[in-house]
Amino acid sequence: MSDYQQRINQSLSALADGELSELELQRLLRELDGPERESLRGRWRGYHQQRALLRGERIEFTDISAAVSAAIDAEPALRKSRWSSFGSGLGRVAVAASVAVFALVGVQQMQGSGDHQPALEFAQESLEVEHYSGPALQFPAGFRPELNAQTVSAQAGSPANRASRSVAVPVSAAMSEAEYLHSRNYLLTLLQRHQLQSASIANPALLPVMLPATLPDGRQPQ
Amino acid sequence: MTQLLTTTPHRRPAWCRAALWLLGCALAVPVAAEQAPQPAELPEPLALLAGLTDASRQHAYRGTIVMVQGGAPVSIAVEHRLLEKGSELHYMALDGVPYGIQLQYADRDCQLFGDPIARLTQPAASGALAAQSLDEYYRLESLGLQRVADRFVYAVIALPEDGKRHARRLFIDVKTGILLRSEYLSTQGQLLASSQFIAFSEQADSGRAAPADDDQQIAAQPLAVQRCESAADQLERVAAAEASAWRLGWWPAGFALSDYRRDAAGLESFMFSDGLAQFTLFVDTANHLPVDSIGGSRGATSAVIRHLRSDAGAVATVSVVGEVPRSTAEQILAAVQLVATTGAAR
Repeated sequence: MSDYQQRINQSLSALADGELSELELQRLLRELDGPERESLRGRWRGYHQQRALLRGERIEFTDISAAVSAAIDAEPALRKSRWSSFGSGLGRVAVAASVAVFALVGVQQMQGSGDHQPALEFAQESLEVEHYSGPALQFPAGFRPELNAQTVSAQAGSPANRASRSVAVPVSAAMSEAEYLHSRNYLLTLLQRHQLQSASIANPALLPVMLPATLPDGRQPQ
Repeated sequence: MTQLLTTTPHRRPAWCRAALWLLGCALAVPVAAEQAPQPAELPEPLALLAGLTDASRQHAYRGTIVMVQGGAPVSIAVEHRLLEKGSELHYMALDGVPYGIQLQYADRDCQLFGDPIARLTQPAASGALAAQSLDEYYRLESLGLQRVADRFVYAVIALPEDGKRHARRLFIDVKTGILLRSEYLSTQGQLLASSQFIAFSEQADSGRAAPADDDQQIAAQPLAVQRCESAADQLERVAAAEASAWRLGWWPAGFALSDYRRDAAGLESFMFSDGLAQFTLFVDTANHLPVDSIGGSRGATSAVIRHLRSDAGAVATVSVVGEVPRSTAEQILAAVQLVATTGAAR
């Protein structure tokens, strides 16, 4: 995977998480009108489908962006007057993407309010509401497992002949409770190790020192 | 108001009021001069940071810190005792799980290695590391004189030049040079995490053997002792990272490898510090997560965990955890490289 693709994927992921800055959003929207348009849209749909899977929701993604684009194209006078300052393609794609997102959110909300209960709900601070009440299964606030197949690239050999490549890891759509706890504990272990190592290595003059009480679930190091 | 003054029945005579005013001036002027330095005396921000390490080692002190890191506040009792050689720093959580850490500094050299803040005071000490100056990747500005824990402090803000790290706001005690308040800020200026003394006192009776009465509760709690090893030990550990099959192809400028450890299970950890923030790269070839990735952030701390598959088919779990924005953690993680296929699945 090239640096460019990695950057775009990170931007898409950040946008899906609601963490993209205004400047990056503008850049991403420009890319959406470029040659990578179809693959980017596919990835965008994938992110949302994976998020829906995480919540145990059934979701039927209907991409209406093409239809919206066609409708905008069919109204040349209106398009020229309202979007000419943004360039011909940018505004069209932005509108289409926005409508697609709203349509997706609408479907999710409707399904969530029905009889179907999500199998597991992962909390994300200030973005999502925790519905799962079992404390043993709560992931630390702010962190969540992801079932997307985004991987880093492994580069082997000397720097001169390293070839960047991405490796897909199979997507597992469902997790058992044991797997969930395993993931959660692994995250906590890494946070704990980082904190203790920081305390012993980082300049003690620069607080904060890290203590177990500051870990997400306040657990004691082993 | 004028009417109230003129109709006050027990008004003091004019000579009495004048005497009180003069007495007030005589008392107030020296106090104000001692407590509040004039703005012209504000030191340079870099000089303030350079003095942090020495200040924290030279003074005995105690107090209570309140930390907020994306959740409920946590109170921590702190005490720094001067010993005959070196010193001991005790932290004890006052909320939640009763637990503490005791950091032992055998001498003044320990923990100075690899830390850009400490290196400000000894720039040529660690030639093996990239010695980029802190003010090359942070823009340091003085915010003037403020007050924390009933003490006057110099406020300094460190703004990242590259957007790859959090901004920091630091409040340094005028009298001792010790950091009394520390904040992580997002690039939008949002407060992400903070820790500050809400009570601070300089201790006179350092080096005592027995704790005072109010130390009894602290002393009764379990303490994890972290001994500060010598700079030579740290150099040795960092040098051992060369033997690892894993490398980082990129990380934000200013961060330097400060520690490397490998445990019995094969979990490798590479800790980087830029003086004001740390992140750790973990590589785990033994533990396979059932999920493909975990990501998120809490307060100033971000964590990104992913699977990586080498050309030879070995799967490792690689992670970046640290006080950096999540986007930076993602970038760092994307630059993980396996430089030798042999030995990758050790």
